[in-house]
Amino acid sequence: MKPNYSIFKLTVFFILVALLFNNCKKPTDGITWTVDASVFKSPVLIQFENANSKSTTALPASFTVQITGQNADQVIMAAGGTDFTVMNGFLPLALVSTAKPSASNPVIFNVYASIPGFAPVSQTFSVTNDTLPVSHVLFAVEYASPPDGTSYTDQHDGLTNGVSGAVTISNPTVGSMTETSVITIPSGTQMLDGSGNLIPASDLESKVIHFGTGTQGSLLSFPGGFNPVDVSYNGQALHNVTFKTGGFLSINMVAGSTPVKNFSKPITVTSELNSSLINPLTNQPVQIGDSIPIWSMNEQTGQWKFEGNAAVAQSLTSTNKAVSFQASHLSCWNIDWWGTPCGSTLTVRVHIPSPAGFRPQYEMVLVDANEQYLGGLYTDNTWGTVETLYDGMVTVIPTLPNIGKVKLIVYTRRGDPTSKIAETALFAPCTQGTIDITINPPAPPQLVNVHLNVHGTCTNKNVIVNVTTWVYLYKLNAAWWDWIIVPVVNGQADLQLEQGAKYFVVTYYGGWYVTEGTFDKNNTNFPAQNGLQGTATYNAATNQVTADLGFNLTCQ
Amino acid sequence: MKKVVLLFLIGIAFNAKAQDITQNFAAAQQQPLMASHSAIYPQGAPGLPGFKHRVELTVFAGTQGLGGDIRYGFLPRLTARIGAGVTPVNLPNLVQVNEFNSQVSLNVNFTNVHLIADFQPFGGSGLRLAFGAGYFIKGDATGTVTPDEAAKYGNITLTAEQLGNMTITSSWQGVAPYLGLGFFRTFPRLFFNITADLGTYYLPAPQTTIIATGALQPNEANNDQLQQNLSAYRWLPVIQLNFNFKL
Repeated sequence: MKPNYSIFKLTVFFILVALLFNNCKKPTDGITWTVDASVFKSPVLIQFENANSKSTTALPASFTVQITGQNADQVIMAAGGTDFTVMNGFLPLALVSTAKPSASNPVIFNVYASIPGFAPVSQTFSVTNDTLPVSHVLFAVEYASPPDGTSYTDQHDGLTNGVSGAVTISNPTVGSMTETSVITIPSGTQMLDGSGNLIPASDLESKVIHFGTGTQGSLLSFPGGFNPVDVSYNGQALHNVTFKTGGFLSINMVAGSTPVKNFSKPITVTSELNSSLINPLTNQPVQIGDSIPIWSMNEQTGQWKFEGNAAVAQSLTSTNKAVSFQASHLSCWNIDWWGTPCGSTLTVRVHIPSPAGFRPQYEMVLVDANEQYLGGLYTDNTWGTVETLYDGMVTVIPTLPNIGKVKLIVYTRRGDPTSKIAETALFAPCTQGTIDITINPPAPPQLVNVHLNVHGTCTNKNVIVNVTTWVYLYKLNAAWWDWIIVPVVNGQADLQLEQGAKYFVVTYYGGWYVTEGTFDKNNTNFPAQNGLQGTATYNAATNQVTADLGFNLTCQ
Repeated sequence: MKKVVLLFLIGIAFNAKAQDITQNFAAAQQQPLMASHSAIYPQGAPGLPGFKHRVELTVFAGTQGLGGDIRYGFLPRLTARIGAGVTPVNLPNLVQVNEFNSQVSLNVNFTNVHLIADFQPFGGSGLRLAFGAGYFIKGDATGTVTPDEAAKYGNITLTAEQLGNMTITSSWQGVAPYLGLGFFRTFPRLFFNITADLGTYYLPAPQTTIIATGALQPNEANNDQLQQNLSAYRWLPVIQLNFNFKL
């Protein structure tokens, strides 16, 4: 019996040893499986803002937009779906995975928003790159508080069964807006809807915003931008045009409760021109007798249509010069020289000698000799507003207006002419090729490098989802311009933030997620405020804070 | 996913279990012991009358796979065997993983050559202490997860093609010491007998790799954690039946 007992003990011993050593740790301990959910292309963030940064009126927390245009079917929300709802001013879009945007075959779509209390907003986008994230701000002009450099009139007039008497609608000078405009409706004019039917109403409400050319705040609100991609010129479709504007008017009329789209008789629009306006064809201040093309815009499709030329004349009410034209339908009416862009591009080399590694978010704009805003630094064929600049940055402006002289200006705050920090000399945009601009910024606050990991956590699986979206960071109790938006691709983003400052951190991914916390040299918790939470850890060797932020996601 | 990793490890450990416990035909044929050396050399000793160096051919099946040995008797209580074993096991669609609707294949491919000595401490009891080493020419366990249905994350749907696939491999290639017990007497009295072994190899520390494609590609970053987790998985239990032929 004794030998058998020993055999039993030894057998049990071996089995126990084998099992014990093989199971002290599960193979999957500490492992979370990860999925990259970046199936869409060309992230496009559209941020809606009140065009008047000094207004206290916020945009509605949510509103829907219409996506139209020739490639609208290729547009999708960045988090999936086609519920194009702007939440807290943000509309993160992308292109479907089958889209193939390129410079020779851009994906073109239009975004149109009708926001209560604001003039309609319309912008056409041309996407030429399938990976480059592009952010763009659309400025909504609040009727009650339009930006400096504009004027606004809201006028009621009586109708007789939809037929107007003689009506005059005047926009006066106000603030920096030195140009007036007058719209006259001849007596006996029928108010017609979009189908050309008479609107048998007794009241006509006219809302007219006149955008002057004297301020960037006004020009930033130019509907569609100065590089339109959907233009009809005498029946010819043009997809690559630059505008140099002499001013524009957003005219909206409602008869009763029905929008007026057409008139039985043309109305007359007279618009004064800014006294400093330069004719890009002559590179001289605009003269009496000069001719300026007139354009109308279908706001819902974003298409511009050439309506004819208007001759410059002396204003009857001021020393300004003015143009008059007739309009038989309503939309935006635009007084713009136009041209085919330069065939060349412009390479911009940015120099920020000190402090080393500083990456400020400044605005770089292209202006004419009179410093009239022509556009912001391009990141695509759209016009960016604020860019992250850094020493050694080389960027290419692919589309340039073919006008005599331009220059680049850098502002520390978008739209604020008092914040100019750097500029180039005047140069010929079509032949310059490359230009250097040197920025000497004021001493920045102590900065810390931040790496963001942003993910959705499946609530029902051991899976995290690396999302492609945008993160908006706003410094608490700071000025309106103290915000940063960064694209997050497959959950990753790098940026610089003020060390020790507390930031709201916001992201949108089918829902609105918020947290707040401090990025400094201590490990920090980011408690959930609205579904977003995580931790930040500091690595002294790299002087980098890595913030892991997540939100719950339903997975199937 | 946890099941995948566990299963391919279990596959290594128990891919041919249920061996052992046999009859020893030779046990029924006890032979008289040498009177003066019965305690140490029950079958005689080299140079003494009755001893001869015996040889057997063994075909085995067990957790180290299928293979064969040649055993040689140096002393009445000390023998040695040299041989090789292979474990080609493919287990398609044995399990499903929770994280993805997928097809999972498990593949274990172990090939070893070994040299093991057996010492009989209790004379005619048939119990052997076995010690030696093997060299694992191949020591790979591979699990492949291939999603076969779309998955939805929030409002985003990823097709099976967009998800890609993930292949997890752990390799224990190298020299592995062996320690174990043998049961029943070696060397058939007549032509054939059956013996059993119970023991374990102590494998080299595994080297793991995760190769993933498509949306699963970021999981390659889990390799360090996986390798750390598997660093203690070095014991390869051997449960084996030996079919011995007298030469």
